[in-house]
Amino acid sequence: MPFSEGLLIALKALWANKLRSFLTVLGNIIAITSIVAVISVIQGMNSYVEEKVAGLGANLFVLRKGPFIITSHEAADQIRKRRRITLEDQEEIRRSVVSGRFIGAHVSSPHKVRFHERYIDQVEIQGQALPVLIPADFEVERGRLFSTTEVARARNVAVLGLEVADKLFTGADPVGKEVKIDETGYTILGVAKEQGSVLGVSQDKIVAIPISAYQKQFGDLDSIDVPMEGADESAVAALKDEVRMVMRVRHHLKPGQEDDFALESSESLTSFWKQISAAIFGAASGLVSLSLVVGGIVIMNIMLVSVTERTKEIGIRKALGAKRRHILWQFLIESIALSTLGGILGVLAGYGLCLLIRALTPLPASMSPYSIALALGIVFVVGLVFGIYPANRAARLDPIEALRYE
Amino acid sequence: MLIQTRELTKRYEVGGEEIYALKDVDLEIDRNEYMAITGPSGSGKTTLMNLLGCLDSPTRGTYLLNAQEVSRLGEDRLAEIRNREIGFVFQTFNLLPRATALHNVELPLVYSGVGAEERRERALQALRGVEMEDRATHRPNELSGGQRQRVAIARALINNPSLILADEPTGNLDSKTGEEILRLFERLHSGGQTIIVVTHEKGIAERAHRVVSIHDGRIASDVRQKA
Repeated sequence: MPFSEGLLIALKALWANKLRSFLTVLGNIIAITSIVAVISVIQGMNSYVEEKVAGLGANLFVLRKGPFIITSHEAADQIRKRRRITLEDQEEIRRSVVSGRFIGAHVSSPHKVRFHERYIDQVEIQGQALPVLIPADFEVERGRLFSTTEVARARNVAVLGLEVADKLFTGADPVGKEVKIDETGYTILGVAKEQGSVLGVSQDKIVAIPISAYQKQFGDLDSIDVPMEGADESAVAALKDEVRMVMRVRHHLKPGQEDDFALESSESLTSFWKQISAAIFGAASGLVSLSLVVGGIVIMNIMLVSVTERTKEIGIRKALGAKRRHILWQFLIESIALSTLGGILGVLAGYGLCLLIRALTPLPASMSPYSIALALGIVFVVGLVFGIYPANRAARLDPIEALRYE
Repeated sequence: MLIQTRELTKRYEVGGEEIYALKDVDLEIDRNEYMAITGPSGSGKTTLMNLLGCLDSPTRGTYLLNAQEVSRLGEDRLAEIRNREIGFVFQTFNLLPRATALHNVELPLVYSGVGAEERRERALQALRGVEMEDRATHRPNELSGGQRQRVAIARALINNPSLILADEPTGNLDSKTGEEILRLFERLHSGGQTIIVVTHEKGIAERAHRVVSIHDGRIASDVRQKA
C-alpha cells in the first residue's frame, strides 16, 4: 500500500471527526504556537540587537569607563570608583596611536530644550567631537554639521534631532534660529536625518553640540566615551592594543594589574543578548516539551479510542488481505497526520501572534523557515512516537475477533 | 482439486478445559463446486469457515488450498492468500461505511498493490458484473441491503479468487432480495466459480449442489444433490 493511500485514508478519518481531531491536537497547537512565537521574537530581537541596539559598525569600538552591561552591584560600585575617561585621554590617544582611522568623543545627558514658549524635557544632549561616530549613521539632512573650528572654539551651535525640530518648530525651518538648552542659547546649524526608534525609544529626540561646548556648560566631570574605528579587523585589534597601552600608562597601571577602563564593541552587547535569549529559549523549550508530551499522550489516547471504534474496519481490511504492516502504517500515518496538522495550525497561529506582536509592541518579530521546519519536525516525531503503541495494537488485532466486533 | 483437509482440528482451552470446535475433519472440494456447510450454532461450522478462509490456523491437521499447504503459514502469508484466493461475503456485508461502493470494491486491490487507475477500472467492471455500476459513487448507507450485498460480492470477486466463501449471505435480507443473491451465486457458479455458503437455513443450503453438515465439530453428513 503506497503512502499516498494511507494518507488519504488518514485524512478522511480525521475529517470525519473534525471537532475531535481539533480538540485532540489543541496541545500541539498551543505548544507550536508558543515555540514559533518565541523563536520569532528571539530571532527578530537577535537581528535587531545586532543592527540597532548595538548600532556600532563592525570595525568600531568604544573606550569607556566601564562595560556596556554590568551585571552586579559590586561591579557597578567598582566601576564608579574608576578614573573617568577625559577629553585629554582622547587627545592623547589621537596624538599617539597610528592604527586608528577615525577617533571621536561622545558624552550625553538629558536636558530641557526650549524655543520661545515651546519646550521638550529629557532631550538627550550629545556632546560630540568630530567625526561623529555614534550613532553610526549620523547624518545632517538640512543645514550643516558644526566644523572643527567650532568644536575647537567651543561655539554654542547645535544640530537638532528630527523629533526635536518637528516639535519645537512644527514645520518651520529651524536653521539659523536659537534654542535654549537649560537656558543657554545655541544657534541651530542643521537637522539630523531620521534615526527611528530602538525598543520604542526615539533616537531622534536628541541635540548634538560640540563636546567642548557641552563641557563648557555642563562641566567635564562626566566620563566620556571615545569611539574609534579601524580600517579592518586586524587594524581594530592593533588599535585596541595601542589604546590599551596609552590608557594603562596614563592610569599608571602596573603589569599584572587589571585594566580600569573598558574597550567595548558591538559584540559585547550582542553576546550578552545572546546569553539572555538562549536562557529564554531554554526555558520556553522546557515548557513546550512538557506540553508536547501532554499533547502526545492525548493523541495516543484518541488513537486508542479510534482503534477500538474501528475494530470492525480493521477486521474487514484484514479479511480482504491487509497485512500487519498495512494496518500499522495506516494508523501511524493517521497519528502523524493528526499531530502534524496540529503543528501546521500552530505555525499559522504562531505567525498570527508574530504579526500581532509586531503590530502592538516595539518588539520586532520575524518568522523564519527554520522555526517552521523545526516545529513541523517536532510534531512529526510526536505523532510518530505516540502513534506507535495504538498502531501496533491495531496491527495485532485478530481478524476473526475484529470482524465479530460490533 | 481445490481444497483438501486432513484431520483438521481446532482446539480451544476455556478455563483449563479443552474444547474441540473441530475434530479430524477430512474434506475435499473440487473446483467449481457449489457447496453449503450447514449445522446448528455451536456445531463448528463457523470454525471450519474461518479455517477454510485462512482467517485462522488449525491446532492440528493439514489444509491444502490450490495444492499449497496453508495450515502452518504466518499471519502475513495468510493475509496474502486471503487477498488472492478467497472472496468473502458476509451476513452483515462488512462494507466500509465511509467509503463509496467503488472504493469498497477496490479495497482488496489496494492490498495486492495494484495501481490506482487499474484498480478503478477493474472495480467498475466488477460492479458492472453485479449490475451496480450506476451506484459506484454511493456510500453503503445510500444503498439497500440487497445492493450492499451485491457490492460486497463484487468486492469478493475483484481479485479473481479461487473460492467465494459466503457466511449467511442472505441472513440480513428479505426473501425476495435473498433470492436475487442466490441467483447471482448460481450465475457465478455456472461461470466456473467455486462457492461455499455457510448457513443454518435449510432452504439456502438446498440450493447448493453439495451439502456438508457439521455436528459437534465433525462432519455428520456429506450429500451431493442433483444440479
